[in-house]
Amino acid sequence: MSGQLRIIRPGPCSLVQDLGRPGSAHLGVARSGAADTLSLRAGNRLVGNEDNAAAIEMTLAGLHASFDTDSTVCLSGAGGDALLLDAHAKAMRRVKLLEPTRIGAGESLRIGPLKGGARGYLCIAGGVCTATELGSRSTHAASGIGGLGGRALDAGDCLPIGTDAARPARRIAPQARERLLAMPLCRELRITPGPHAELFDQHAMQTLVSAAFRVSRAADRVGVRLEQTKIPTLDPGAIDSEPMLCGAIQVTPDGTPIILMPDGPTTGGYPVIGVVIGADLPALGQLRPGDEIRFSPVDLETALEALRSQLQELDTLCPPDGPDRP
Amino acid sequence: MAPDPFQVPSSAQGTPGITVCGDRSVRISFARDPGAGAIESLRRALALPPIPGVADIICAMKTVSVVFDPLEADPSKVLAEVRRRLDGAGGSTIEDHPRREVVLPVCYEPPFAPDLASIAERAGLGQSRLIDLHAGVGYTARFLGFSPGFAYLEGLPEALHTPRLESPRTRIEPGSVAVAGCFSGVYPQATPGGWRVIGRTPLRLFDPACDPPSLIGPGDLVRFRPIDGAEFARLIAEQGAGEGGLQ
Repeated sequence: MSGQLRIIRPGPCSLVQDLGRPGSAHLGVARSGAADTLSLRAGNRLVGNEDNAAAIEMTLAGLHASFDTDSTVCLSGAGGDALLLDAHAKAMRRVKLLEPTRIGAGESLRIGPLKGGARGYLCIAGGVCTATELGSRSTHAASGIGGLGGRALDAGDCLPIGTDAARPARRIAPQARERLLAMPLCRELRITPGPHAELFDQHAMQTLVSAAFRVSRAADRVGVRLEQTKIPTLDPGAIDSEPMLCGAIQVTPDGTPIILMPDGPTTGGYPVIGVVIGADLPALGQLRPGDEIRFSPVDLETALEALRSQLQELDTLCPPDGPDRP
Repeated sequence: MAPDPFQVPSSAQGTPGITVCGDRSVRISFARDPGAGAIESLRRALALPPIPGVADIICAMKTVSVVFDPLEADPSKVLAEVRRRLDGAGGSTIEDHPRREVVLPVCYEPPFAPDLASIAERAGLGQSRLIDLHAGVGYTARFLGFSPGFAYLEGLPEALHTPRLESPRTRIEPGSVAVAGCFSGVYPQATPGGWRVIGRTPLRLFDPACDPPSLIGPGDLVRFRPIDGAEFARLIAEQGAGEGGLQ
């Protein structure tokens, strides 16, 4: 059984995203996927989905969407005022983050500007069922794939949604909820050293890990440009294009740091001074223009332990297999 | 003692440095370009049989990156496996590898070739001679990047080597055939770009409905075939799409 979700008002940038599209980077196709995978996983688990089910990622402000079928939804990540409206657009009740909510056919969900972070997720039991392209439903604008033609959602768009999740929806304790909401909102990003250390002197490395940086307005799913502090390079433009990673901190010839995001290019020609660790990529995805951030260096073991313990904590707070699973 | 994963890559005698980069990739870096054949040998050695947990193998001129899921694969194990396979990947030339040949029809006429005249003037050659040079050789797709399906094509005759535009164009049309430095390339999508445009192909370079979605793959042999404006129009029509459909 399936139904449809119709976009009444799309919000500034709402995109279909799952956990991403590995395996096509050699063709220049970015991995994409939710910028805050932790919140996507949590929202999906609460409606009974697999972690990788596609949801709608909203940026800075929410959307208004109606459902033509009974459904269960869950909002995660950054939240705004969210209202459940009846078929006559009359407010019925508020919808809280990380609380699965039943929506009846004809009802709609309206979400206002997001607070605290940059990205919110609307997870739907059964997931958004747009076509899988190159192994993923994630939207990648540059490739023109995922979601609806690789573009942001627009008013009037109809998205197929599943109504049968893998497992029943369920609720979590208030303390678990608070903790899950706080997890991706850290403003200190841990990094491991980049591959071009020889292009930066001690002063540059010291600046990177001691100064504060501000997220500029040039912050999207391709890259986040930082301002307020510049990083001196010894030999600007000295490297040939080479493979890039999400979280790589590139430094342009004028010393501006740019952190690559999930839709970032697969190869790049600016030297990389550090790479944000996997455990802090969800926090990177929640950065808003104007946020002040810092970097702290860690070693590889610490980075891996942070990633493992983060997923363990998620499993404890919000187990992937609900108690009701047959 | 385990090797320091953050060691500065060794650059002696063409031996590549192998390091863990970030917490989810192994970076193989050569001091000098080892050539298309060596990179392709390495890519094949890394790709098959698949290394558990590895999602992507991305090649560039002097660097190859093996991207893995650190929850599925221990970085030290991936590092050790990459080292092992690197030892087994013998030197070769690109001709030693079976590869596809892709022929791209290109119209080198106005309005598709805004930079052809300036390059010809710079090289001290006639425009038709320049076209003969560009279309007279085979190119090797060294790697893809910049945008989906954009291949860095090696083999550009020296007369056509030119610096990028000082100020990039804000929009390059899809299918634009361009040159910069020692490379030629074809823009698959409408993007900003700083390469000098000398022609246009009517073919779609990147189409997610095709398998593989990119017309040119890493290692492919690419040739250009000059066509006139009439044939360009006919090929566009045959593709069942208007010019805008090339995106």
